[in-house]
Amino acid sequence: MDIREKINEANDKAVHYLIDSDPVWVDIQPAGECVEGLEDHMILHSGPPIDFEDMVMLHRRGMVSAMLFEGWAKDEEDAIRRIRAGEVKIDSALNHNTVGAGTGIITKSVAMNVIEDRNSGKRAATFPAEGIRFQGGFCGWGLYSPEIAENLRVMREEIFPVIREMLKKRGGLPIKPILAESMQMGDENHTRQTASDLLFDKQILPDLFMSDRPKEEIMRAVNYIVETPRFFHCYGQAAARSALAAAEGTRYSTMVTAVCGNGVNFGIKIAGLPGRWFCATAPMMEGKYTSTKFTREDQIPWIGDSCVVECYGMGGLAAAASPIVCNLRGMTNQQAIAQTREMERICITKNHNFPIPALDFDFLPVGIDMRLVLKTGILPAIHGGMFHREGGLIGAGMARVPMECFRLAMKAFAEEYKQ
Amino acid sequence: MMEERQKEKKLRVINLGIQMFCDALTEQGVRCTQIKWHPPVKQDAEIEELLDEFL
Repeated sequence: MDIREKINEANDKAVHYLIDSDPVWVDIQPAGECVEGLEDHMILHSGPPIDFEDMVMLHRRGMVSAMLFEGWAKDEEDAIRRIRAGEVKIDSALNHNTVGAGTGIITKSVAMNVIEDRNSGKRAATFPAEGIRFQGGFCGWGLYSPEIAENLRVMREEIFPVIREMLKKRGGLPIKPILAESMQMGDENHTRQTASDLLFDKQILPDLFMSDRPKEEIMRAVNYIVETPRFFHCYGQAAARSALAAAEGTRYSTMVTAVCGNGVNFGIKIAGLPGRWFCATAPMMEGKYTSTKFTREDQIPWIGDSCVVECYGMGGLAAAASPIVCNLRGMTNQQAIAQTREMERICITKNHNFPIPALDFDFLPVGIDMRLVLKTGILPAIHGGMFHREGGLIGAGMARVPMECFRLAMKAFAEEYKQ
Repeated sequence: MMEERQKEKKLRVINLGIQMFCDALTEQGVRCTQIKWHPPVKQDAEIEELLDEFL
């Protein structure tokens, strides 16, 4: 078998970890119990690994927030001193079985949703939405306040026990049917989760109402779920991450298993080169701001791991499923379809689980192949949120993964596998 | 009759490549279909060689 055949066979195997995945929401646990390798006095962040001194302000503030939240420092000055003294380990979330959405700050005691891929047995954990008032507060948008810390405590100690009890009683919640149906209802499951939120609520709420707990406790959990926009986003990310974790380490595979940024650098990972990062300068997003007061000067380059969903064949690859999201950027329905058709040219195959009405029920592309990116010059399209330099979400849009990441990965692949 | 002739004369454009040409025509009321196209990508010699071998 020549190397070309070995790569094709490996890619077929790797992409079927995605297509055949069966993600099920099985638990809510403290990060210290479900994120592999997350030690005490360790802080995870989004994007490829980066030193504290090189971080954007959002990440630096996130590090300090984590120190204060965990009680590892008494104030900001003390936190920075301890970080600089190396008292805490800092690592990329994607070096573990989790996803750092936005700033992606994760420490041992925050509560996490646990998703198990019943096809491979791999588990992934993601940080839950933080509710209507503080969503993106701790983990996501680079903000922090005593109120945000108190909200995390309320989520962990008062809301999640109710939800966890319901989840255990019903024996988990399959995620893939929600993803599949919602993508026939206008979601691409990165920027838009309007349909998946409703489908999720439809499954969960009747079981919550059957709880034996006091009505006030039940309603607090119900309100948390229904009032939080894009509540389902973390479930889509965990579904993708668990399947991609199964594909990591597939020898000879050129499939992309992670694309992410830290506001400075942008990195990708390749299935056949596990544990390695291939980085270039993080791109800026093009999109629409939430207010006319924001400009490009306010925005930072790409930050976040949420484009793990693109690696699973959603988001920018699923533009045809959501002309509504594309229209936010001034695109027409035809241009949304064209974006998905363009992504087909850099993907290994199509996912028969995701037929799309606007494609005449053709399937979404899945499994970005770095060889095809280099050959065609078509860069993966990634949807996501735009972040303010001082913290906070200021818009939504799209970026392209830098070509340099693929060039570096291809050279490393040759060193590893050339016969 | 005059109107029909004028309709026949209306431009219908297919634009290859640069989007702004299509946008400019559309803004002027000309029907324009954009074809996404760019010149074939040329990678450096080392990458081209690896692609020949691996793809």
